[in-house]
Amino acid sequence: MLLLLMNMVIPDQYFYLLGTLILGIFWLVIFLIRRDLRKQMLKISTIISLFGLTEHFWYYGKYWTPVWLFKLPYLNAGLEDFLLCFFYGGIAAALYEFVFKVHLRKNSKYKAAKREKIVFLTLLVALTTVYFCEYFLGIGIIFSTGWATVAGGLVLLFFRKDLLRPSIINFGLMLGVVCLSGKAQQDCSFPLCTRTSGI
Amino acid sequence: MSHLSGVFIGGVLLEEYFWHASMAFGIGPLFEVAFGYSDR
Repeated sequence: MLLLLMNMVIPDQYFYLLGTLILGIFWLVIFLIRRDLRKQMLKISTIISLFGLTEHFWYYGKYWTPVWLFKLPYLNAGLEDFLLCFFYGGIAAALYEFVFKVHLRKNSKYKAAKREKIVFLTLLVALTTVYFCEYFLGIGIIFSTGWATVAGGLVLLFFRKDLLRPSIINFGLMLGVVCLSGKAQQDCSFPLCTRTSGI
Repeated sequence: MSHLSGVFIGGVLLEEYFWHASMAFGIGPLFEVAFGYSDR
């Protein structure tokens, strides 16, 4: 009913942005409450926001065809994609620390150069997994990218076994966030676009 | 037809939830490894 009313009064191109901003509320709550995590949230959010470009290469036309308010020229992507990734990055990075009131400090057993290599290896494994799942196994792009982040996560856990528990709990916590926000977010973002891929 | 719709909606929800949760699984540790943080 609410969706029907929204459809009647809100122009189509606002829905994706609106759905993204619903997720942004969660990001803002964590950001405002946990001052100690702000700097890190901004860093990881900025980095992950770059993955908004994957809309053009992976998702658009294969998974869905969203309607953007701020479409980028020459690309099948919009500002909303970058904003969505920005919020995902910050929430995913800080969710466990926020819920369990964990306070982090600089205390890595690896030096910066080694950490860069681990991150590079992680991205390489994740990227390879996407293409392997999609082109060799024929799995839809949404599951391919999902398995890619799981594969990347496993690489990280190989080097930092102490993060196994937080990672698994983070998986569950994000499910909770999606359950709380996802329905409204999906209702806002998805009714007016075409989904083109299933499992 | 309704059965097919149910399967489609179920599939959409499954892939949506899996995608969201897997992002958290991968990005969570990425944050701590990349910036060298630990709670210990």
